[in-house]
Amino acid sequence: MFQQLFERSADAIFLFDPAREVFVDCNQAAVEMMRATDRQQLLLVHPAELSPEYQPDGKTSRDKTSEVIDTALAKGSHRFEWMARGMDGNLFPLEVLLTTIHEGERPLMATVCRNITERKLAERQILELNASLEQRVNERTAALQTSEARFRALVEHAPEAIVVFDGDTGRFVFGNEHACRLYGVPMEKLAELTPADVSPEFQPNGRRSSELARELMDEALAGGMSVFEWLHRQQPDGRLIPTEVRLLRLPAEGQNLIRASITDNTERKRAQAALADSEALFSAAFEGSPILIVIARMSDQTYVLVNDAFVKWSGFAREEILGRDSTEFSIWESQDERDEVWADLRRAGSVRERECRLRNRKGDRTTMLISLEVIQINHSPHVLAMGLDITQRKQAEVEILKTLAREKELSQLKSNFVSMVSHEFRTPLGIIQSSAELLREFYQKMQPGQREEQLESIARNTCRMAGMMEGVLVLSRLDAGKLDFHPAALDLNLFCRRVVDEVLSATNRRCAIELTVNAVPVESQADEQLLGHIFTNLLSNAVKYSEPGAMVGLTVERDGQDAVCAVRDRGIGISVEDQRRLFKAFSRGSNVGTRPGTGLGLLLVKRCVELHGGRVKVDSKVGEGTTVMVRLPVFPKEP
Amino acid sequence: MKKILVIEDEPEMRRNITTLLRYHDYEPVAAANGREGFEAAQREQPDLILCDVTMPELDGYGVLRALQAEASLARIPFIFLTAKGEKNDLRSGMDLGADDYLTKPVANAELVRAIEARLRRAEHQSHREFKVRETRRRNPRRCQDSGTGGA
Repeated sequence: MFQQLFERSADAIFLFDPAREVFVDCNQAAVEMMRATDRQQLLLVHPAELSPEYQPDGKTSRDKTSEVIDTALAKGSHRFEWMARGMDGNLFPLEVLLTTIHEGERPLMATVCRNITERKLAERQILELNASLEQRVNERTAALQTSEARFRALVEHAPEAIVVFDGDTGRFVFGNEHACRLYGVPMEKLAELTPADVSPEFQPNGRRSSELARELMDEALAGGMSVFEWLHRQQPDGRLIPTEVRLLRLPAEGQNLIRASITDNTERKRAQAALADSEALFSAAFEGSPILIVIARMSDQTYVLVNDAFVKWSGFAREEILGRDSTEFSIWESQDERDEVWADLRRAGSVRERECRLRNRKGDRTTMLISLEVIQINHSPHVLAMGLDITQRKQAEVEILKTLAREKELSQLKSNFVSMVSHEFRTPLGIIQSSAELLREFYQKMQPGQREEQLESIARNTCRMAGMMEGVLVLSRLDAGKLDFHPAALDLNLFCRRVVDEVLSATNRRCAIELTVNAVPVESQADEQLLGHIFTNLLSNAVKYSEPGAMVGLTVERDGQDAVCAVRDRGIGISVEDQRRLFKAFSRGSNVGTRPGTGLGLLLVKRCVELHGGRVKVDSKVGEGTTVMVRLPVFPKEP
Repeated sequence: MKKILVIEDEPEMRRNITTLLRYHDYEPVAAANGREGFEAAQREQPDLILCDVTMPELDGYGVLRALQAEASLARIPFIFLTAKGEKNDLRSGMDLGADDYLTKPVANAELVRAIEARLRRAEHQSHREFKVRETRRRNPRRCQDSGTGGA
């Protein structure tokens, strides 16, 4: 049975004779292990011959053999490792169990060998793995150390205050620089304190700081992340500092640690207060502004906010306006103008002081000076539009421009008039001067008739100048508004007779004047002075431009409220061309010859008639005569 | 006796000027408007023309332009005597090529002085032109070489 066990064992087994130090038997497994061709190759062989010269510990295989034999003999058995060499020359490690057995008198040793190449390989791999693991652990430790140092530095110098406290005792365990500064406590003293020690007795909500702190800590320990406002009291002066605190439980074994990060809210509180003030201010400005202000969304152009001024101007209720766009109210007079403004706004981001024509609910047209600006509200683009109603200003501008133009025209007229007057005065003045000088220098050489002629010229031209001056004066008084319309009760019939008499007398009765007054009431309202200028001028002209002895007629009739007065003569008449310049200052007919005149009379008549609210019309033919028709509203309404 | 054409539409002025000229030994010729004046100039070939500006039919500027268009009349000394006293009136009168521009009222003595001065200058000029013509006639080659020269 033992023989069978020996032969079939999976382990290689040799029988070794310690006296001769050779193998005396071996099994099949041993033959295979040693890559021998048969058992005989291995028998009576010294183990050193089946081994390299040296074993891994540096000893020769022969010495080592003696050594293990001695140990096995002394102890009975000995387990050791051995480096063997197969018959093919390959080395392989063996685990050997050398056991002393007695076969009769002769001691033998059973040598059970197991190839441990694989085990050795595994061992080496494990060793290598261990080395690598160790290295990684070392590296990791170093990294952690660096990282911790870094985090520590980060925490210690963090811009926010960070403290760690023991959730059970409530005492601080750690505090960074910032926290110590915030509390006004040196770092080494911090461990003696609790959060309640660096807070006022009561928090703003009326809770006792110590109680509230305990509650909040418990909450954090329960796993919650609580954020709250906390009023701290700074040492040593007791200054109160509003803060925001975030509590977080720290994962630490065996300890209930809580980390608190504290942000000084003083600035934020101040900014919040300032913002609230500013908001209140802008809100007041927005609502109270006389300028129309609206805010509309860019996306759909609907109104989101409008101020009182806009509501008042538009005539719509605020709730009717909000959520709708301007096209729904037809606020813009021109859709093109609206589109253009929006296009410009989209392109440039703002539109400045654009004049637009808008209208409100009642349809009142308004000229609005608008400015638009794209602003962001909750990250969405809106337009802030402001409008100033400049309708009145525009009207005033138009008026001012009109007045200016009129002033300019008047001033031009005046300057033309002055130059015209000076021009017109030069001719009679020239005649007077030359006549006077001729008389002075050549008086003796002149015939009496010639002297008479020169004197006559002086007198006539002096009169002409005086007439001109009178005319110019009256005209300038009319222009200056000094000759105004002052109607008073007047008997037109009587008045006409008087004027006719005056003209007859002034013209030495050169022509007869026939006065016809038809059904004219005694009562009329007229300005006698203006009427005097009108009739004297017209009648004098009629006489002047008629042949001596010819007939001049003055007819006065009533036509409703108007007195229609016609002055007719059969004189030289006025050419069509001259009629065009009839009412121009100093303009005289080309056919007047030596008849004296200023060219101002008809202009004067026209001005007086207009001042009287009437009209003047001239009808004339050269060689046949002239009729001047004047229509004056002087009578009361007919019953 | 120098012949002076007076073109003036104002009868009394016309009369006074002709009277004055006669007393100063000139031979006045009078015309009552521009058209008549131009015809008189063609007919009479006066030594000097005294002309108003504002006149019916043809005004003083028109007369001057018409005279300048006719070679035989273009060199007659021409004086405006007018009531148009503005600076730009004077400027446009002189720009047209008038020799003098007098504004009414003008003293008789001043008018006579202006007439005398223009006549004297015209005489100088014609004398010089005469001399140039004479020189040219005597030395045609030299004058050709030196260009027109003289005036």
